[in-house]
Order: sequence, then C-alpha cells, then structure tokens
Amino acid sequence: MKEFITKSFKRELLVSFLGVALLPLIISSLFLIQMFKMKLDRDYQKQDMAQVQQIDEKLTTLFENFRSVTEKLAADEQIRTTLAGKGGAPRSEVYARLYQETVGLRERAEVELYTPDGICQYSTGTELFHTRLLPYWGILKVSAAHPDELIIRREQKYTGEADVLLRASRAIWDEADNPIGFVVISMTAKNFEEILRGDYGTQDGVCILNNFFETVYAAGAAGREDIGTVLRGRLLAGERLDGSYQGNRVYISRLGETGLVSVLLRPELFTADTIRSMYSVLLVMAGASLLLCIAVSERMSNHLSWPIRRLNLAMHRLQQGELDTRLTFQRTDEFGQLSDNFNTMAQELKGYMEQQVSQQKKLNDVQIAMMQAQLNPHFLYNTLDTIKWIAKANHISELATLAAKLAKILRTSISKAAFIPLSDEMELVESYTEIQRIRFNGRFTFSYDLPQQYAACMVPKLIVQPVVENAVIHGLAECEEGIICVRVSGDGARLRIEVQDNGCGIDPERMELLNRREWDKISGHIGMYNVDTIIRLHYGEDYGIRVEQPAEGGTRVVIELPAGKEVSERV
Amino acid sequence: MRRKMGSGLAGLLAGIVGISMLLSGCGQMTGQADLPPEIGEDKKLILYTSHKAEVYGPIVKEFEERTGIWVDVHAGGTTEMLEAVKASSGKQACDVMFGGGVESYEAYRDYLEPYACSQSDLLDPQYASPEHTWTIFTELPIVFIYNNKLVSEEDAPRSWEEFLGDKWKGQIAFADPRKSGTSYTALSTMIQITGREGSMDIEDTLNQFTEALDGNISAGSGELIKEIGDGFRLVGITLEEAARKEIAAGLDIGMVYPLEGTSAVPDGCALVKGAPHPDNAKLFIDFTVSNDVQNLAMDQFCRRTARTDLQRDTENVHALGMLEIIPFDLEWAGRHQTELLEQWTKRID
Repeated sequence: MKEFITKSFKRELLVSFLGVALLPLIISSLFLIQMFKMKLDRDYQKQDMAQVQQIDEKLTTLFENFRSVTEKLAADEQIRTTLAGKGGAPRSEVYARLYQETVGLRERAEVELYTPDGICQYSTGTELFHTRLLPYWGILKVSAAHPDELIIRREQKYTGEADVLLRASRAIWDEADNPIGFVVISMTAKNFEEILRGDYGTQDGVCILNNFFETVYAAGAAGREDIGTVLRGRLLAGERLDGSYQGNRVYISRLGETGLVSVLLRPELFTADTIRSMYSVLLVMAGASLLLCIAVSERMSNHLSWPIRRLNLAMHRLQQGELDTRLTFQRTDEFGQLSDNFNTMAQELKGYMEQQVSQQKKLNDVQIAMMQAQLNPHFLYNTLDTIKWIAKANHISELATLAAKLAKILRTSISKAAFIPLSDEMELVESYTEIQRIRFNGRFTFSYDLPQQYAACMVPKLIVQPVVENAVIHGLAECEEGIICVRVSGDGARLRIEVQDNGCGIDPERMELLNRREWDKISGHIGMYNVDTIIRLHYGEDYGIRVEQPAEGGTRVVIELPAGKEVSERV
Repeated sequence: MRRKMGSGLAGLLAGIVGISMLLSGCGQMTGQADLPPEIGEDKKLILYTSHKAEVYGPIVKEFEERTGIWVDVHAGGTTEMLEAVKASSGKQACDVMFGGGVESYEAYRDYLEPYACSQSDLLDPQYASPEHTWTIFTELPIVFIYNNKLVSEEDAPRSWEEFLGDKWKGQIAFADPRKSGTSYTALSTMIQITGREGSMDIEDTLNQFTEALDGNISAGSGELIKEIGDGFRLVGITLEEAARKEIAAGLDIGMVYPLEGTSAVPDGCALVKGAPHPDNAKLFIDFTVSNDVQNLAMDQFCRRTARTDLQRDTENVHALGMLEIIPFDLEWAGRHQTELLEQWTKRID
C-alpha cells in the first residue's frame, strides 16, 4: 500500500490532502455531535427529573392523605363500636362518618371497612361488593401484625381477572387491644390513571412498582411491555437499573416510606435514527471533501508534475539527438527558471556539436588529401628502380647505388607499419649514409654495432636516421675525416642507441637547452625534436633523447627506449 | 525528525478522540439516587415451576414479602422444567422445583436433594416421600365431568368402566397423556382400577379406552374442560381442582367422583441437588406446606391440602358421588410410563 502511494507524486499529494482535510473534519464533527448530545441530554435530564419529582410529590401527598384518613377512621368512635359488634350506630350513620372523612379521596380510591375475618362490611364503592380478604394472607396479616401503621401493598384479585390493586390498610383495635377490623383503601389502575393524567406525555411511560419491582400500575410506553419484569430481571442479574429500555430513558425513584418505586420512561432524544442521520451528514460532508481533495490534488499535481513530465520528455528527446528541443513554460516560478536553463543548455550543446562537426569535416579533408598523396611514393619508388637499371646499363655505378639506396629508404618510409625491427632501421640508416657519402665525396665513414639480441627489437620507424642526419649535417660540417658510429646496447629492459661523431662538437649552452628539451629556443634540429617527441609520445617521459659531449671530442646523442616494446597504434 | 513529528501528531489525535469519548461517557445518566442496592446472593432464590401463574404468583409474592428474598421464577411444563433441572445440575442454576405430579419427580430423583421439611410429619403418609426426596404440596383427585345441559344427572358417568364401552364412544374429552401429566395419571388410575382382577392389564384397558375415544384427543387440560362446556364433547376426565375452579367461575358442567374411587396424586416441591441458595430453598419448601399456603390452596385454588391436620370439608360445589381415594401405586405408574405411552402411541397414531 505504502509502496503504491509513494510510487506516484499525485497519490502522495492526494493522501496528504486527505489527511489535512478529512481528519479535522471528522474529529471536529464527532466532537460536536458528542458535545451536542451531552448538552441536550443534560438539559432534558434536568427537565425529566423535575417531572419525576412532580409525580412523586403527587403520589406522596396522596399516601399522606391515606395515612391521615385511615388514622381518623380507625380512631372514630362510632365506627369502632359498630365494628366491635356492640350494637352501635345504624349502618347509615357509619356510612355517614365514612363519607365525611373520605371527602376528596373517594374519587381517587375506594375506602372499605373489613371485619377481622376479612369480610368487607362497608365500602365507598358504587357497585355491589362481596369482597373477602384472607386474614392469614397478604395485607391483612401484615396489617394485623403492625398496629398503628399504614401498610401499603400491591395486591391481586386472584379470582376472576387478575386485577392488580394497590391497597393500604390500617388495623382497628378496641380498648382491650383486640383486633376489631381494618380500614382498607384500594386503588385500581383507573384511579392511578386519573391521578397521573397530564403528568406525562403521550410518548412517555409511567409505572409504579412495589419494593420487589412488581408492577402496580403501568401506562403509556411502560404499559406495552411489563417494565417491572424488565427492571426486576436487571436487578436480579445485577445489571444497571437505569439503562435505557427500548429507546427510552429510565428514571427510577423511591416513593418515600411506602416501599413503592416510580418509574418514568422518556423517549431517548437521540434515537438510533437521529444519530444515524447526524452521522450520514458527516459522511456526506466527508464524501464532498474527499471529492474536493481528489479534484484539488489532481490539479495541484498536474500543476507540479506537468512541467516535470514535459522536462522529462524534452530531456529524452535531447538524448535522442533532437537538439532543437526547447521548453516553453509560461511561468515565472522555479519551473520557469528551470525551462530557461534547459533552453540555454540545449542551445550551448547545439553550438558545441556544430563546432565538433566542422572540425571533423576539416580533419576528414586532410585525411583525404593525405590518401591522395600516398599514390605518389609507389610511383617514385618504381621510377627510382628504373633509374637504377638505366644507370647500370650505362655503367654509371654511383647513380645506380644512389637510386638503389634511395629506393630502399623510400620503401621503408612508405610502408604502413609504424614499428619496424631495429635491424631494418639500421639498414635504412646505412642506405642513408651511403647516399650522403656519395653526396659529400666520402668525407666521413659510417659504422654501426648491433648486437644480435637487439636486432629484432621493434622500434618506431625512422628514429635513428634523423639523429644520424643531424650528425652528418651539423656534426661533420667542417670535418674532412668524419666518423659516425652507432652503438646499440641495453640492460634487457632498456635499449640504448648511441650515435657518436668526431665532429666539431656541440656548444655546451645549446647542449643544455637540448637536454632540458627547450626546443622552442633552439633553431634547426627539427629531426631530433621529432624523434624525441615520437619516443615520448609512445613510451612516456622516462625515455627520449639525451646529448652528451664525450671526452675525446665530437658529439654523442643517446636514444633511450624500452627494448622490444611495440606500442599499439592507438597510443 | 519526521518520525518524531508523526508520533506527536498521532498523540494529539489520540488525545482529541479520547476527550470526545470521555465527554460522550459523561453524557449518560448521572447516577440516580436512592436506587435499590444490589441484591445479595443470600437474598435470592431460583425457582423452576410448572404451576400456572395464578398458583405460583400469590405464593411467590407472599414469600417475597415475608422473607425479603427475591424469587427468580422460571415457568414451564412439568417435563420441560424437570428436564431443565436435569440440565442445570452442577451449574448452580436452580434451587427449587415446584409443581408437577410427584410420580414425575421419581424419574428425576438423581437430581433432587432430599429435604425433610418442617411439617414433614404432618403430611399425608400415603403419598409423602419416605426418603423426603420431594415434599408434597396438594392432593389432586381425578374426577369425571359432564356437560350439564346435554347430559342429565341420571345419565352422567359414574364408573370408570363406562369409559371403556360404547356408551360414550366419540363423546369423551381426554388430553394426550404424552403431553399432559394429569392425563397420564388419569390413564394409569383407570388401568389400576379397571385392570382385570387387579392385574393392571395395560393392553385390554387401552384397547377399549382408545376405541371409546374414537381418535379424539384434546389439546390440553384447559381445552378439555372448554370442550365439555361448549358441548363439543359430553364427558371427560380431569382434575377436581380444574373442574371446581371452572364451576366456581360459572361454567355449566357437572362433576362426578368415580364410584370405584380415584387417585389423588399430589403435586410436589423439591430441593434441587447443588442448589446455589439451599437455605432459601428450604425456607420456600417449608413455606409451601405452612398453614397459610395450605389454607390459601384450599380457599383460593380449590385444592386439597397435603396436610393431615388441616383437612376440612371444602365441598361448596355440587358433585355426584363421594370422594374415595384408592391406594394408587405411584411406583407402578412411574415404572410403566414409557411402555404405556408406547402402547398409547401405537393405538392412537
């Protein structure tokens, strides 16, 4: 993946842009959503709490009312005498007391008087009643066991429909502390509905549970499924009680001393739907910025990579030899400068190439001329041969010798080989001296000493002859009995060729210049210069020509070069 | 240097994400005060029951109120719950099995822990488990019922033999003994009473009875009574408790105590082996045989107490004949269950 990205400048740019554009967007959006959610949650929670409190207060007041009413009824003299079965007041009188005490309560609950056996004797209910409660079971048992206390319990009518009731009971005692009956207040779901109506919204749920989380009353969202069972299950499983339930927030609070629990369900502000739509907005925004990133990075990378591509292409064309390649960026930034530099470079390259071509052309001309000139020596050689034979035929032996020697020299000099055996060179030198001896009427003698082991050493052509010529022309200029002697010696690796004459010698100043190779300060001796230059070009600075002045007089020129070393033409 | 920058940036991002997580965490409910504290294990009881909600409901609620113990009720059919007891053995998932005929308990005695309840010497010795493997709860006689409108008192079936002849052929309502424990008890009672000379001949009785049924099987005990009330069937065999409850609720059916007598196999209650809350379980078992619960069973559930000292005449419902309890062979019924049901299947399907 990373490799894939780093392979393209465009992709690198895109990834960077995505990082810069998307990350802050997503992080700030998430942050915002959470903040928003938290704030709203807190606000609504406060509001919900107030509502819970309102319901709780209402019920607590009601139960307070129960307490005072039952207290009064249990203490009522007339009721007590009647229940105790001591004759007492007529039935209507008891009812009158009952109704009098329960003003304001009757429409909210049914108030009844029971005998100790659990038989209902008086009821504020409007219907016929034949209720019987078991004195050994449920609320009456608890009530009997706790005198002077109002007992509130969830009860169920086990016969017929399983109607759930909330009952409050207080035992009535006579002076001798014998139980004579019970005041029982019963509330049905209908009563709760009337009391709590308007305290919760249509979306909400209200539920009243007993201390074992069994439903006493449930309405709205809480009525659809038994929230009591759900909460009881949570409690038994040790889970969070107030965790949200079916998209509702759950508020639980105790109702004072009654042991009852009130539960309010409010729909979650942030249902999965709202959250989803918030996140989809975020997603759309992220998508939009993604597209923007792609577009901008495309443009940016084109802006950057287009000139690079162009430059790359131009370089390539230049390599292919298209020297007229030029870049035209209408830009003033670094890329503009780069294109200008490129153009300058190409221009200079073109000039240089043109110069090279013209030089090569000149060189070619010279070569052609030289090749044309090479035709002549063969003709000359043949002509000389002809002269030799004519001279012999006419018995002009000197002319024949001259022609023969000259032809020999000419043959060697026109041969294509740059290196020849030292013996050949010496033969050429001998031929040359023969000719010169005839020219100068035998004023000098020439001899050479070539040990056999050096005869085959290859040396550059015409390196001894110019030195000998120099000796003939300069050394023996005014000498009648000149002697020129060439001696070849060596120490295996190094070849030493000495050319010595017995002539007038050499001016020491001139000799110094020669040995220091300051040729430009010396006139003449062009042959010596050539020899020295050739040797040094071929073999390096260690070799070349040295001039000495022997004690017996004359001049000795020493040519030094490697023995038997032939250097390839190229060097 | 670049590396360092990268890790710094990552740290910053992690910080921001962390803070937003933290904030979202705070967004949840601020704890609500005065919530009930967590319930300790010493205040819990896991109850498996095959009773109907109207039976176990009041008993469990009263038990909770009196002891402060929270009862986690799992209800279902007798066999289903006993199988669950079996499956939960060693997993500490169940404390008490409540309900279901004690003959079923016999088959699962390996998973039950014997416990002699506080009132064990007052329980009916005919059915009480001698090893205290279970504790009997109430006794449930099997009776005949008939449609009051279509069958006159004179014609009403009085004897078990009448169900084996052609007299009520195709008119008998009877639940499938493979599904209903009560029905199996009724069937084995019939065999024990009508079997030739006390030989308990399964095949003979089954042949005659299934012929008389003529392939009509009721879906369950509840549907059986309804079929009689609707006049869909004329006569049936069911529990006294169920019949009396329906009659009290106003259904126009008649009830007959069989001439030859009948069984009154009790339902039971037992401590499960390896119970996680054995002390609470024992409290509950004691509670089921206490005076108050036994009285409630008689007063509210039309049941007969298993306590010898609490027997009282509860007959406020008109019935033909007199209740006579035969010595029902529980052990035989348990032993022959598989065989009998196989024979039944052969004849019915």
